Amino acid sequence: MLRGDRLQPGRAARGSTPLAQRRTIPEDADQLLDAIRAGDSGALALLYDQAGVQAYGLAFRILRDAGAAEDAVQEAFLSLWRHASRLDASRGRLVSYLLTLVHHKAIDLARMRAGRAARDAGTDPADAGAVEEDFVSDVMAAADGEVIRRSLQRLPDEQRRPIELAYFEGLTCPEIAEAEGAPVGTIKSRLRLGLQKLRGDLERQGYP
Amino acid sequence: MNCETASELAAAYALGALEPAEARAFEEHVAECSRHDAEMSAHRRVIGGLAHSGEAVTPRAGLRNRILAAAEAERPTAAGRGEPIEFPVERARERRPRFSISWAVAAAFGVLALGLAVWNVTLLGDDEPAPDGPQQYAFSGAGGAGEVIRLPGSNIVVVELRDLQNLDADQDYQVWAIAGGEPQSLGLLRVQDGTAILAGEATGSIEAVAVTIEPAGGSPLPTSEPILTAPL
Repeated sequence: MLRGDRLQPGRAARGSTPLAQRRTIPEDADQLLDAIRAGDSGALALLYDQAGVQAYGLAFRILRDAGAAEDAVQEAFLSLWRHASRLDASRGRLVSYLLTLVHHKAIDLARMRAGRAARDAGTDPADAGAVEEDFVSDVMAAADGEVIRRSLQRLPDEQRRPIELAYFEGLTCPEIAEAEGAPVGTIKSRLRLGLQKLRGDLERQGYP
Repeated sequence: MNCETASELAAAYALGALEPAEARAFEEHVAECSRHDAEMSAHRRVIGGLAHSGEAVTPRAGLRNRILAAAEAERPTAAGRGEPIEFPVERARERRPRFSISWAVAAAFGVLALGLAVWNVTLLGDDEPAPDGPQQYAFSGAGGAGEVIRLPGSNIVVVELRDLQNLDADQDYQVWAIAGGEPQSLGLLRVQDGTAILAGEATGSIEAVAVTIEPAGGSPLPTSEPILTAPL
């Protein structure tokens, strides 16, 4: 089940009034997803108020361009809006799923802007019907961003950089190998070791 | 691909860093081999956490409205999610109710940062019992002409408009149902030769239907005064 995380009033874009303020605001994330499934744009507004700055922060980190980041966030919200009926709320938190969509959209945009081939359509969890496969666990997502950032920084550079190049730059192993000046096989090993160490570090802090 | 190789590639796959051919080979292996399920699940949990590792950054103010407008434009209608329903209105039995209306731009939605106007619709004298058939109401205003047809026993309306002017490329006509004093978007008009038909369903009893000119893609709430209104 979703964790029933109570939705907190978010930081709405300055100068706007959350539509949800004039409507019945869903009590928890289950209700929020139900309302989005029913086509209630006020619920979508509430999700934006709750997660918009986080979504934009992720997109901006990947794209480093305000307009492109906004496009990625918009595409992610609309993808969720269109495919909400296919989401299984028991698989994770709605915000985590939204961030997964933002990541996919932003990486695809980044690769396109860099003249690199877009990733397979199958990597879009909503568009490709792989919602359940890619639904993000709420376990690690429960760790706040600062905890994860610190854990990343504790990794050896040679392991942290390939992870960041893969996740935030959308590079493939051969592209990372070129950037790092290391064999492709070495990069694959560093990705594996890096993720294992990151997981271990988070587990030691109580995030199983 | 053997299990040892698959394990070596699992992290790169979970990060989306494998080349397509290698990713396919990995997928084929794990489809037949459940030994990697726990490993993949563990990688995905960590990678899911990476999505939360970014700093929160406030986007420009217009993004929220842009997203909501685009979502509203795809809003479900009586026929389900998707495009607005369009169907012939000729079958509707014409019947013009007796009413007099005074609507005015009563007040800005006040707290509404969009700085929008609200329509204060007062219905007078329309106390006839609801008929069995569709009810038809005329639009008034300088931006065109047309009718609203409300299907009996529902909040579904069909809007038929004519004599509409061509808009700039960055503008759209947007139709609103006013229910409980608040506008609800019924969708954007597709205008052909100055005419357009749109159907939609509102939540709550519809007091009036109005048409505004909005930025292309529509707005979550009206940003201009209506060019056409039809009190119901």
